[in-house]
Amino acid sequence: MCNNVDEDAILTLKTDEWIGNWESQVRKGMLDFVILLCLRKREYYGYELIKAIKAATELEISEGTIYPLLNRLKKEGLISSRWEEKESGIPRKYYLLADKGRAALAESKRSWLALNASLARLMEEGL
Amino acid sequence: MTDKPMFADPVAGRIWAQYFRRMSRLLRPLDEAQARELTLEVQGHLWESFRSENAGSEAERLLNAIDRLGDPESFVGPMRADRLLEKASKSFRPKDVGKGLYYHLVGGTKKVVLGSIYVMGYLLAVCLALIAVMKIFFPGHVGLFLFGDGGFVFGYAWDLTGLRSEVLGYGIIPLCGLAAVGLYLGLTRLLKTLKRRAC
Repeated sequence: MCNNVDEDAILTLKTDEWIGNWESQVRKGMLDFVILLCLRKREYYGYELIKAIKAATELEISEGTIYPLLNRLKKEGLISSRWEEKESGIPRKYYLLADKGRAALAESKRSWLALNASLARLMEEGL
Repeated sequence: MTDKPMFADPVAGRIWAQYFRRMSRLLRPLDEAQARELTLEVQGHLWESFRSENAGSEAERLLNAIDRLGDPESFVGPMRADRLLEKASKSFRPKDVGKGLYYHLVGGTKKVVLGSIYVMGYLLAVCLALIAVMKIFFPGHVGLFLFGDGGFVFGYAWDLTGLRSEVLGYGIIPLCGLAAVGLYLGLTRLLKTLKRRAC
């Protein structure tokens, strides 16, 4: 009896751990896509972008992780940036979606919708 | 642009200065312009985040903002390593290659194994170059030696007892020289594969 309870607890812990890891992987993979989606209609500076992502999605992102991602997207030519001087004396770096990013976003959306439909069918009907 | 906003609380000012001293140390290997740009962006973030808080002293609000942003090591490290690798893949300078690999490995990333393979590849390139040079000074001991017992030695052989033949002759010089240069250029061209794909 006691062993069964222990085994159940261990199984729950392992399941929670697996779900936690899986969610973390999915979120990491999604973040590029989410950033491009956010920048589709307007430009954002880093801090503002993090707030927008948190408000629009359930993604709990560590604030510092956004900068290496923005840096990489910029290097890949998907986004561009511009500086704007502020009265505080600390300028803001605004990020914009580049033409290449707009094309990549359209392709990503198509791919995401197709994948989503396949997964929905799989969850509903099985193989 | 001011590097430090005006805090009423001197403790907050010291916390701010300390955070950006750490960041400045981390960014030392980068070009001044690159380091300046990264610093300005993080300063902007921290300042906005600090201003978004209403409760608590300035020091507390700043510490909360730093807590949300994370240690500079956690996000500056990957960016620094990527920028150095990119620079190395363009300049082909051994100094840049060494720096890029060093900071990539020190960054403690998941690609340490891949980085180690690159280091071994560069060592192999150095060894091949050395073999080519050593052939000039020790022609009788450098080459591809085949021994009577079926064994072979490629490179420098001190003991030639049981030697059957040496195959390459002075052809080992262009062979190893070209292989070393090709390996160095190929590895350096591919350095970008070490850049992180996700954070």
